[in-house]
This record gives sequence, structure tokens and C-alpha cells, in this order.
Amino acid sequence: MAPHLRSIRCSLMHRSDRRLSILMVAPAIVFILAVFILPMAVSLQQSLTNLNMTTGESAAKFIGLKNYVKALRDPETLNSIWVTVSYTAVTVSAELVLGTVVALVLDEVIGFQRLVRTTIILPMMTSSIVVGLIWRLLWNADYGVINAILQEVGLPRPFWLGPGLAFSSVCLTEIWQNTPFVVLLVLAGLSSLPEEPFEAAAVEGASYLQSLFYITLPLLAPVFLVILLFRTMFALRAIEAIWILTSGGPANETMVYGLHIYREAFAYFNTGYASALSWILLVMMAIFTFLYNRALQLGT
Amino acid sequence: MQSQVVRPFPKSAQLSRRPITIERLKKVSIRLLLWLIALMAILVSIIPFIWILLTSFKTPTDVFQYPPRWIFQPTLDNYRVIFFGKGMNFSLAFENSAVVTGASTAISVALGSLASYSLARLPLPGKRPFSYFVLFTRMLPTIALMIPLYILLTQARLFDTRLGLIIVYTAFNIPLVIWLLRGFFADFPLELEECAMIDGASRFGAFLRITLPATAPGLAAAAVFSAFWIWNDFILAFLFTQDKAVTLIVLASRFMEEEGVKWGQVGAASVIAVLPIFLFSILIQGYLTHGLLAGSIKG
Repeated sequence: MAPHLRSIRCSLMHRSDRRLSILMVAPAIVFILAVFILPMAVSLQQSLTNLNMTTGESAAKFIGLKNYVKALRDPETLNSIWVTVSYTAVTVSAELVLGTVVALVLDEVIGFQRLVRTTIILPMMTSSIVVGLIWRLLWNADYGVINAILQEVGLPRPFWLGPGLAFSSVCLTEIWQNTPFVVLLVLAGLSSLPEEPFEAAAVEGASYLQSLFYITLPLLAPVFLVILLFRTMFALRAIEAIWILTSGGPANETMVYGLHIYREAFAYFNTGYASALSWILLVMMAIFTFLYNRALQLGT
Repeated sequence: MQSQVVRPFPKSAQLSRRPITIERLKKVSIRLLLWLIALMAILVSIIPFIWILLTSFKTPTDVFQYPPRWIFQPTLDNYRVIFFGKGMNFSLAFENSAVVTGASTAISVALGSLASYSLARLPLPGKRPFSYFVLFTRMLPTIALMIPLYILLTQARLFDTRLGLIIVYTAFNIPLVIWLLRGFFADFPLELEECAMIDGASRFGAFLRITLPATAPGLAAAAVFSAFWIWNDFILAFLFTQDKAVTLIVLASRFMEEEGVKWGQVGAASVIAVLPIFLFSILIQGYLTHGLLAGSIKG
């Protein structure tokens, strides 16, 4: 079609397209309104009250920002923030390093490609609850496989989910489950790298490590960015495996922020306070989403 | 998948004709080391699964043996108990999981693809803020909305019903679908749609007959990811069900609340919860990588 004809047609089409565009998003918007916007509004309102489920809604009073002020001083909240941040930092960085190494190795290893890859990603396909169940059995101090192996080689048999060790055990479980995500994305990134720089480097006589650090890894930067942001966001909200493994204990050592909110809401019935904690999380996630979008736009 | 990049370590075919030198020995040992690391990675990935599979066939006495036994007299009792035992409703839970996963996936992929097309292709007013909001809801931790959702569902008499779960899962999943499909729709050549429209199809007709079938791989990837996520999810199903609409994962989690965990039954429940996902993963293999990458990077 000639260009001028197309532009005339486009302007004629434009109005009906606009209506169609709204009609097409409408059903999705209805769901989002009902399940996200409405609850978020209710939650915001409740966060400004001292609502407690045991005393009921009639006893609730408007207390302004007191819940938010309390959150910033509450040692349990501050502890849960610290646990969440360190949990995220430890697991995401370990997953990134370990996953990249495994991906680089798998990229070199020939044969059984599909079988190997399918096997490797199984942990990440598994429900976090099942991961928690499996690892609770493996970590068990009395009849767990891990301690049996340790004893076999003459090492002590620690109480893995007990004081002092619970945090690292929980982190290791998370790393086991989610390193495959990094492997998968790095492998895909590796297979889409351009060939020319490597050919040039080979001609120049560059060693493997040289081409790895000066070509491969820099070229993979956008992939690393995606992995970093994705994993961070999901580690920040991870609660399910921890729920099964330790329920936040011992002595709040593994009490991540999500579990803390759950406990305030459904064990202590502090609905107002829990809503304020939820809104703090929502705002942090909104900031994170914004940064994520920015980073993606810069990356591509 | 495999690119033709110059390999830092020559493959065995290239190695075979050269005489044995220190150089060659070094390369062979590096190859060996790589294989060893790969093997380790595979073992670490699958041994926990093998262990829970073995446990699911153990009697209580075998479970508590120390040192743990790899060889024992297998029994199907645990599976029998969780499916037909008294007070156990794994059959119902399996049915609930299947129905809720199927329905939520179908509805959210249908509605999500409409919205995604509108976002990628049509002059939707307020496009930018809306796409931000979609991404935001995608990132939203479930836990942040649980209290008001719990209250709303109870008031709407949807607590502990499949319908309630389907509505919640559909809503939580629509943003994922929109996000995964946007890249596919944006990449589809506009000319093909215009051809159909010149032939008399409406814009929506062109979308239904031309664009949608052409993006089938994207739709399939979105459906698979959605189904996996819904099947595996715990928090929403845990909070919004009690007996009637309880899902497999929720029921499995309840073993931990009891005194003296029945590990054999935990094993059987885990195997049943994981098996459909694994079989499906094996069926679609490398396909998953493409969908995931296309969705997460194209954004």
C-alpha cells in the first residue's frame, strides 16, 4: 500500500482502534481492580488504625501514622528486615557466582546437552513447600543424609536447623533451589553471543581466562542485570521454604519480613500493624519495580 | 542452541591425532575436570529428589534408621494412606489443584493476551502508567495483600471455594501473561495484520485470525509458566482454603504441623505434587528456556 494511503487509513482507523484497545484491556483491569486495587485500599485504611482481629472492627480507632512509627522502632521488625536483607544478599550473590560457573562448564561439556539441562533445572521447577519438606528431611540431625555423610568422613553431626546454623541452612536450601535459574539464563545468554570477538581473540592468541574476563562476561552484562533484579525481587519475598524448615526460628534467626507480617496478622491478630508492615513492603517493591524498568531500558 | 564460537578447549576429535605432550595432557585433564564439575552439579540437583522418592516407599522403621538406608523392602503403604486413608483427602486435593490450575491458566492466558496485545499494539490511553502498574503487580509479594484479600473473600462467601481461588490466581497471573506476551506481539510484523484488514477483516478479526495463531509459541510458554506457578503456589491457597478447596501443596505442608512427622507420607505427597511438573518439564525441555528468556529480556 502506498504510504500516503496508509496514513489516511490510519487516521480513520485510529478512533475505533482506541475503543478496541480499551475493550481489550477491560477484563484484565476488572480482575486487577478487584484483587489488587481494592485490597490495597482496604489495607491502607486499616494501616492507619489500631484494628485487632480479637477485639473486632468496632473497637478500631484511627491512629494516624503511629503503626508506621512503631514499625521503625520495633526490634522484631528491624530484625526481620535485617534477616531479609542478609538472606537476599547472601543467596543472590552465591547463586550468581555458582550459576555462572556451572553454566560456563556446561557450555563446554559436550554430549547429553538436553538431558543435563533438564535435570539441572528440576529444583527450580519444584514448589518451595516441597523443597522445604525435602530439605527438612535432609538437614535432620538424627537421621538426615547430610549428617550421615559427615559422620562417614569423621566430621561432627551438627544440629543444622538449630541456633547458629539455621540461617546458613536456610540460605543453602534457597541456593540449591534457585541456582538453576541463573544457569539457565547464562546458558541462553552464552548461546546468543556474537562470534566475531572470540575469533579475533583467538587470532590474537588470547587465553581462555582472558577471553572470559574481557569478552564473555562483559557481553553477558545485560543477562546478569536481569538475573540480579529477578532473583533479588524473589529472594526478598521468599517465605515458603523457610516456613517449612524453621518457621522463622530459632529465636527469630530466620524470621524474614514476610513471615513477620504473617505472624503479626494471623498469630497476634494485629491487623492494623500488619497492614502498615505490608504497605512498607509495597512501597519498597514499587521503588524496586521502577528501578528494574529503568535498568532494563538502559540495558537494551 | 550451540553457537560456533572458537572453543577455548578443543573437542576430543581435534585432540585425537596429536602426539601425547604436556600441553595435550593438560587439556585432557581440564576436560576431565569440567566433566567432574558437571557431574557434581547433576548429582547435587537430583539426589534430594531421589532421597524423597526412596523415603516415600519406606516404612516408618526404615525412615528412622541410622545410618540412613539406600536399600530396603519397599512398600506402597504411604501412597495408599494419603489417597485412601482416614482423614486424608489427597484425591480431593489433587482434583482441586488440577481444576484450579487449569481454569486459572486458561482464563488468565485468554484475558492476558487481549490486554497484552492492546498494550503492545493499540493506541491505549495511559499506556505507560498501566504497563508500570502491571509490572508492579507482577512483583507484588502475595503476603502484602493477604489480610484484605482474606476479608474480602470471606465477605463474598468465596472463602474455601474453588471459584474464589480461581479468581485470585487469575488476577495474580494476568500481569505475568501480559508481560511474557508483550515481546511476542510487538515483534509480530504489522504488515501481515494490515493485509488481513485490506481483505476485509476488522482489527480484532485480524488479531484473532492472524496474530494470535502466529504467537502460539508465546501463548504456550505463558500457559506453561502460569500453570507451574499456580500448581506450586502455597500462600494464597493456604490462606483462602480450609477443607473443601484445599490444594495438594497446602495439604503437603500440613504434615509439618503434626507431632512426629510421618516422613513416608510426606515423601509420597511430595512425589505426587512434583511428578506432573517434572513429566511436563521433560516433555517440553529446551522450549522453556526460550519462553523464559524472551519474556524476561524483551520486556
